[in-house]
Amino acid sequence: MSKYGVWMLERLVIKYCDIGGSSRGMRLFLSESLPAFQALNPQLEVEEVLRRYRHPMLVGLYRNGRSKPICVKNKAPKEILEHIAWLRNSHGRGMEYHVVRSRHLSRNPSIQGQWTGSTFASQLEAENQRRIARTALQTQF
Amino acid sequence: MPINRQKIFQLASNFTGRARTCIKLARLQVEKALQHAYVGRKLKKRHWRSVWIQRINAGAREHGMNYTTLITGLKQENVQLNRKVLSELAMNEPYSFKALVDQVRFMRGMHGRAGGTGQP
Repeated sequence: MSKYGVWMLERLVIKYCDIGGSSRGMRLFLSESLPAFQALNPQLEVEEVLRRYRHPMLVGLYRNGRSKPICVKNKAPKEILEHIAWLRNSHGRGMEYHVVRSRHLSRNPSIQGQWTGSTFASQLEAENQRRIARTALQTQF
Repeated sequence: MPINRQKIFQLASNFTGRARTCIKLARLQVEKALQHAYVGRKLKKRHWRSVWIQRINAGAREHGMNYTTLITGLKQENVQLNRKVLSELAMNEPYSFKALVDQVRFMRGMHGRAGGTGQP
């Protein structure tokens, strides 16, 4: 994803094994689909790391210093491409889990100002004065 | 077609103890959890309506009117705002809400009362 023309994903590290079975899809991907992907995305630095006897992984390194690792063991080349597209299209923000208090998200939820205890303070003050004046006239208790 | 084991363990992934790992226990607890979810979806609608009504009541009582008179007044004036929107106005646009209360008060001829509570 690019923000104001700046790409968020800076580097893509592809770790694979040349003899393991879980890296079979990855090896196919590297030979078939990776050159086309690199041609379409010249801004991205793609680095291939050979790690023997380990599962294949993709690591996306983002502009804000965060990394998103994805294990792609036993995945087909098409699925690996989908994961890479997801890395390319996302930014480096962490996974945010928070309770959704409202389904409406807005930068300006209130135009007149949200209600506080002091929004109608003058009105409340006037009512209190009236109440005090009324009770001051009480003769029977 | 009964629900298969993989799906049951996916749904039970955050349960405690053996209910997360043993199929006989997981199946029972997942079935009950799904029943709770089904009932909860219906209760959620009732819950939110009652929350909106409480908020409208609080907002109206601040201006010397109660919920019933406000709602009946708005119905008579053909104001089609529903309880959800009225509660949002009471929270976020207090002056617009006050304007609605004043309109109902005017329509019912209650503006003459000083600090009236909407009751005859």
